[in-house]
Amino acid sequence: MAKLTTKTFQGMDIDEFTNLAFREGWSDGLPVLPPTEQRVGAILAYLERDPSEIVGVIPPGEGVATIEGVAINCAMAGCKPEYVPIVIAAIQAMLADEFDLAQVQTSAVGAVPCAIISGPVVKQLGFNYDRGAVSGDGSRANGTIGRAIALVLWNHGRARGGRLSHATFGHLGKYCYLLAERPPDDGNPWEQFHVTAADLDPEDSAITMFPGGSHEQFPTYSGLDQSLDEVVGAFARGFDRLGHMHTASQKLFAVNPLAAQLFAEAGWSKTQLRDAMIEQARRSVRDLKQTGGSGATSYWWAGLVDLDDDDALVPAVPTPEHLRILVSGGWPSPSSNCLFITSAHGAMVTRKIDWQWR
Amino acid sequence: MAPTLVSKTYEPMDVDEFTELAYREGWTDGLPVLPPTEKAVTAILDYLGIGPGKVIGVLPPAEGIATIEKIAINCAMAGCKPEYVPVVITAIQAMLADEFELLRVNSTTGGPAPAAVISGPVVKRLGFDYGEGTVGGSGSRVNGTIGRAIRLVLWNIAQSRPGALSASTFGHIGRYSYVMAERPPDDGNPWEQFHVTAVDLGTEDSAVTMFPSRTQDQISDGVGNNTLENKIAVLADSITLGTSQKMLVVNPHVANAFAGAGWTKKDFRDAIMARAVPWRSHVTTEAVHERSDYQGQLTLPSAAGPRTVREELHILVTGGWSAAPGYCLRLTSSHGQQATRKIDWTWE
Repeated sequence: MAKLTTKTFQGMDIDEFTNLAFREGWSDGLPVLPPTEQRVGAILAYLERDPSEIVGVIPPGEGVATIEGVAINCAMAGCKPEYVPIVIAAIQAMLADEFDLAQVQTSAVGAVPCAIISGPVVKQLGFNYDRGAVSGDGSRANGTIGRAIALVLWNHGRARGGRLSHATFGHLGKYCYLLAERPPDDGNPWEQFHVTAADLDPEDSAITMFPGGSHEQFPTYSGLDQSLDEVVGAFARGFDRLGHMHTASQKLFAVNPLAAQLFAEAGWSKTQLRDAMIEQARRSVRDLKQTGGSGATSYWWAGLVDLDDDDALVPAVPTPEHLRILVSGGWPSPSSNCLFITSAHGAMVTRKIDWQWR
Repeated sequence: MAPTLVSKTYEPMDVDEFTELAYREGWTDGLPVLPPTEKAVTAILDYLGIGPGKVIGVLPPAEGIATIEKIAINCAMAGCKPEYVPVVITAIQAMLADEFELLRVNSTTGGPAPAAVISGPVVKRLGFDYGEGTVGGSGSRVNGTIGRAIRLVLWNIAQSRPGALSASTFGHIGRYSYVMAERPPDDGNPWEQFHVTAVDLGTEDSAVTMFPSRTQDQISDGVGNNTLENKIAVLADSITLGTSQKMLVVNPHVANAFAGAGWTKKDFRDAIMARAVPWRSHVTTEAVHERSDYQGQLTLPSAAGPRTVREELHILVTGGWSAAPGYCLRLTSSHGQQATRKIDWTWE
């Protein structure tokens, strides 16, 4: 094993380790595994990278995430070595300027990066994109990669409530937040996520980090005998509630395969569905004035409409770039739940996963 | 270990081998679990002083028998300290209330997650976190591991597993761990405690309320210097009546803005109810009922019958002191209704 610099602890059993881990603050509250020499060594041997190589400096704690540090957090999360290149790619994506990681980690919103996995890697590593796609069907890839990202943000970024983070509530996804896209040959009728979002190739595998602020699921009744326009209306309701209109945030719509199929079979492309949703997700100036503000000119939408016209409609999604569509999840009943995830700060970032799994 | 235990034991292995075994055997939903060692499980059983064979309940959909022994094992896998376990047991008892509809919660396509709301003196006694970042982990072992233990009980004893006995389309991000502790009256909560309003328990009681949450959505009550009436209107815009039970979680800043102006929690709740809107989709809940072709496939939200105003919307105060825009969490159910149980335990 390469020479490592991290402090080591000797001779304790697992129960003693657990008590130590909570006392030292190495976990956000859920149990972590001991990063044993065996486990950390296996990850480093697999990566064949210098342990001291710096992946990035993570705000707000400005912790230096070396390969060694990342490997330790991955071991605590239970990652297999072959999962770790994805965690590294996730860190690199979150460090892009437009992601605004410092704000995501510290603001009152309590946002949390959601990892979206797409491309051949989904099947290669066995990600779950079916029933229970958000919260685990027992899939080790989904659970431990999401968990490792969270632990890197906790231990290197030190975004901890009451200290460097001022999240009002936080977010349930802070423990683990990962979605894998349905592959083209298994229920996804549309262009892959990374192709639409970042012009990558269909053969590429990618990770997209989305700075999720709120996470909502509701039944859209797609699959019942209503018109597609009516279904689009139900989709649009996920984004145009007044409680979501205080900021011009980017949005992610995770559509289940039944709803996607319904539109695809009627000839709709993903882009057409996106544009139809944008068209229907609007609220009147009269309604929006209730969201307050110190003066009308400070509204983010003030320049988009005539403020004196109470009937004018303000788009909840200001530009096509503000809405992305992902196909994931199990084949539902006709009541057909979909996910509506909005950001608050930052914009999603997609990175090709530059790794060949042997 | 006491000879009365019935669970299968494994020969000594290191923690890495255990982790491989746990994933292979399906003992976890994906996140790592701790080995339930003899030491950890015995410490819990010794603390409880309850016979390990005692049955707390039979959990659907698998009809798994939740004995004290099995609960202790799942609590050990979650990293619970022994004194946390009475809270987990109370949570299980609450989920077994008829009105909670645990069978549907565990198996429906909606994929809800039971949220545990902790209120009363136990919040401070066990050191639950209720401040900044309290949802999703602020480092508190008590919040994290109690929520995790409840999930592992549902995973391993009830066998609510997507792809097998659970049909959840997406699941719920709260399915890993989902605990919210109420702010105590002497630390920023200006209103009556949650369990007092919900079920007329005493103010000195401690309670666990299980809420069958399908969605947890964060909303803002507006930006800048907004009037209280406008805040109500903005919050009510996200509350659709009649489709499911709701919980609105408000941060102490929002609660005190209203309380300072003389509003009780009931005033606040009733004002939102008065402004809340019917489902705005073209397909209303009533219309779904009328679609007889789908009756056999649909699970209808009215199964538990009509609710009173008191039952329809619950208000919880927790979280950090937010700046404007005042963030609130909106929880909706799809099946079942929340169930509150007094925690019948004294921590000495």
